[in-house]
Amino acid sequence: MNTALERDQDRQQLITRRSLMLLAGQSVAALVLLGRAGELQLIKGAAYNLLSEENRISIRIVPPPRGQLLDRKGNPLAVNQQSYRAVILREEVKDLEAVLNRFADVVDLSPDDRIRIGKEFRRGRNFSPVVLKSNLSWNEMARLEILTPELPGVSVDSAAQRFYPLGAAAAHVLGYLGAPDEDEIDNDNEPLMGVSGFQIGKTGAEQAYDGTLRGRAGGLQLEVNAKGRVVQELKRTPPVAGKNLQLTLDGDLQQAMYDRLSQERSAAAVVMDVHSGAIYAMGSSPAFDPNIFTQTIPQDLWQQLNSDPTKPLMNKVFGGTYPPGSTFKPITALAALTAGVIAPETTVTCTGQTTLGTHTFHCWKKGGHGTVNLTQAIAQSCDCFFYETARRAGIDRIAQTAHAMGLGQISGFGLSGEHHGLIPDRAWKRRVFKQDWTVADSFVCGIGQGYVTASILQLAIMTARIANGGMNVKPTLLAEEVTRVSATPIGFNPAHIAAIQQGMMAVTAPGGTAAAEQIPEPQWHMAGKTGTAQVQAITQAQRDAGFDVFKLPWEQRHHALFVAYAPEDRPQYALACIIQHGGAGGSVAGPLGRDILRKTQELDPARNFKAV
Amino acid sequence: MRTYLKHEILLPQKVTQLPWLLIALIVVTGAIGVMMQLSAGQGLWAVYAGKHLLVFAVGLTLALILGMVDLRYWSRASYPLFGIMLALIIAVGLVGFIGKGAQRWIALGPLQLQPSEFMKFAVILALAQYYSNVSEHNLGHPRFLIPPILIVAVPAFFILRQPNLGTALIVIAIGGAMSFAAGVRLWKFAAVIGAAVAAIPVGWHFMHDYQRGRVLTFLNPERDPLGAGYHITQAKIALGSGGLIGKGFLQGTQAHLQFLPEAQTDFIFSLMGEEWGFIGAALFILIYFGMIVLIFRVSLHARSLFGRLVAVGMGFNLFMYFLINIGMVMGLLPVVGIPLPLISMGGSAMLATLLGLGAVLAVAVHSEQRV
Repeated sequence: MNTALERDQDRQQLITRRSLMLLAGQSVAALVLLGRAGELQLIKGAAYNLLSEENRISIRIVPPPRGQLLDRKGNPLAVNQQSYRAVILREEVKDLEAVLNRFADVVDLSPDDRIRIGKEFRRGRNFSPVVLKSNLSWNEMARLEILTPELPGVSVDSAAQRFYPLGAAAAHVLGYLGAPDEDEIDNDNEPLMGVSGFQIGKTGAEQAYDGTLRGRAGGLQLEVNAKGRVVQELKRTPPVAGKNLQLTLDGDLQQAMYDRLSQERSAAAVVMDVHSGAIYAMGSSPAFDPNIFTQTIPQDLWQQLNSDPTKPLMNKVFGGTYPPGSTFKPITALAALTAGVIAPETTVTCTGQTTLGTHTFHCWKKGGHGTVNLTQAIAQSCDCFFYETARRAGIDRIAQTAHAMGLGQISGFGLSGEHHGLIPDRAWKRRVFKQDWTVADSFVCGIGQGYVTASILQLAIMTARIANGGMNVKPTLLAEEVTRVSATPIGFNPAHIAAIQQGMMAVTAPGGTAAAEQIPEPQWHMAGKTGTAQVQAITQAQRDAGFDVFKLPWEQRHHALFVAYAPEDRPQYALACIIQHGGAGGSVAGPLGRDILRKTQELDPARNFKAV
Repeated sequence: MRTYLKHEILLPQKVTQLPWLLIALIVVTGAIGVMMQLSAGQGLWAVYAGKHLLVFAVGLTLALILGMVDLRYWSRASYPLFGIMLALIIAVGLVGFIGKGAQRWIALGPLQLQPSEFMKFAVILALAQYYSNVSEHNLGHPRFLIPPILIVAVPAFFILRQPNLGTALIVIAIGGAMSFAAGVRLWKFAAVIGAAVAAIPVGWHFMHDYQRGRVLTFLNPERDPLGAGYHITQAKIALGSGGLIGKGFLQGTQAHLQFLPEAQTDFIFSLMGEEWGFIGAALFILIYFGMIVLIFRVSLHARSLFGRLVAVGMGFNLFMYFLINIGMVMGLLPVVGIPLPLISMGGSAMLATLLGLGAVLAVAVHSEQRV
């Protein structure tokens, strides 16, 4: 019979025994540590001492060459060029300030440069040079040569400098390189991050595919003597070059598109394949010169670009969203057709306005369109027809159709910074405004105004999905993805899609809103839809006074939008474009879209591909 | 159940009960730490040594105050403390900012704390509390092992996710050591270890290539000659070149020419070996291990199960740091980024260690007390 006390004592003894066992194990481990210290310090001490005193080993990281970006014909879009730069070795410098002051006598050094050099100098590893100034001119190199004796530790070496042959024309889609910022350095195990002069992709394709393009660092094991001089190279691990990437872009089309966009104050456009989703050109204007950005960006240029109201740094194709205006009407029509609440033959009589309760909704055309069917309504962009269509379909069906056509979501095609846009529905309004959806809301949203917003890329996807007969094509920038991914039917009735196509063909035919903008060559004829997106609502007072959009200040004028595909009888290319604050839709954005689609078919990128 | 004897001790009595030899060794170790920090800071107090001394002084004072706290309060506070620390460690994952690529830190005003350091402390108290309330008979039932496994596994999981593999492994090791000391049968350890080993190939199968690469580099630093391998090579050169008597205080060329990475934190033992030689390194190992032995002695002399287990846990915690840090620096163990408590720079680790020693002091002072 064990008493409680005896049990307790047993337990105490067990714990004592176990603790002593633990302690014995620990003593053995401590002896091993002592032995190892003896081995390293006493037995091998002399050898290590030699290594430490005579031959110190250091490692210099060798950056890999960055992969190139090529267009669909194999032409270069982003390449590496040999350039010369001044570098400084930390261990040979006693007074950095003095050296920099002398250096600045012959080569221009900005205060920003000095801050960066100071930072990299402190952070860098031994025997890895810090870049003082990249892209030296011949003149600067000659002057440095003369000054060399007075600049301890400074030398000139050659390095790769990124070059973009298309310059500003492809600035947004390709992006540019820049030095990693503090966060990126701290959060990346990449040994290259700490190397002075190393650059990573900051925006566009350079950023999106940075992992592929970057490659892997190599290293030089250097033997260095006690004074910190390199004695010899011990071992060399060669860097692994980054992979070249072929994009779907057509360099010539990209250039032509940008030239045309530049004629407008602020505009953007994208052209993609309606079957494969390949993006052939994506442009935004005004732009910037990425070849300046890969070097140090001058402060005043940076400020100027940032404060410019036309936002040159933004890729307006997907970095901003706009009310799609009448380019949204095909969605409203398709939703109503799918729901069976209208048929292609359904007619509505437009008197120039529709009354709902006490409120009057105007058609853009004073006096109205008379009695119109679906084809005529799309062709003339009759608002009254679509008020009625939206009322019958209801917002939830419209939203469902919009989502199926690629609106209200990011496409995830690769580049970062895509915006979702907004496709409202009943649940959304209840969640955000704590109010019920009204028929008036449906009216406004049914013609692509009000809460509805979309990016130009989304409108291009929508147009491609109409043009290809309702397949869920997705955009892509990578040539290798084009053959891998194939589109599948979304599930719309082909007859309904055909009815929408019918209407879009009528837009560019006599009587349509873009009749004057049709491409002259019959084999290249396009089908499209114009859109005018109000930035501000027009008041009754303005309407009465005889409203003229061009009297408004630039930033309050309507956006001009145009979506189109061509050739209209066997679609291959889809386009969406915007002229920000361009005023009217068809007459302003129409010619832009026509010129781009005409050039596209002339160059015919779909049949001009050369795999590299 | 257990009956409580009224056993109040007055403060003067408590002071006389303090284990002065252990405290002396702690102070000596702290002084060595300050000297090493002075060397790592190129002989300047302002770089590391001043802050190190300040944190040590504050921590030691706190430890002495904690040593006066009745063991019954420790016992009562153990579960709530565990809950708070667990909540904090989860919060680090949510609001902790990113330091050195890992979410380990939480900012409390000007202070930056690493909750995983304090989490270990709470795990030790909670385990001691649990095992001291389970009878030996009940300990025989496997289901009574579920709570301690959770006390260890849940914090270990969150620490691992920070990611902080080293600390997570130490938490698991402490859990194992305390369970062993508490009398859990050996075959159960065998079962748990066997299950863990069996799970390795399964886990390996589900890992990404880059994760496998990291594990392989962890096991063999030579795979990464630009990173971990470079660190180890330089650490070994620093230590070995110290020879028998060392290069002398502030004379370590490896560290001062910046060949030795992180000389003030994880690799401080190589700096010590370089400057003070085998004599200094061996003496240090003896002093440090002596401190651990004295903590175990406190455990053996305590009457309460709770007190004994707390001391075993704290002692084993210190031992794990000692073993892994020095083993890593000498190329015996993989590189895990574990500091050497009281010597390495790093406020959280030192503060947590001294608070843990405060608990050990409390056990020593109240060794006659039943809980």
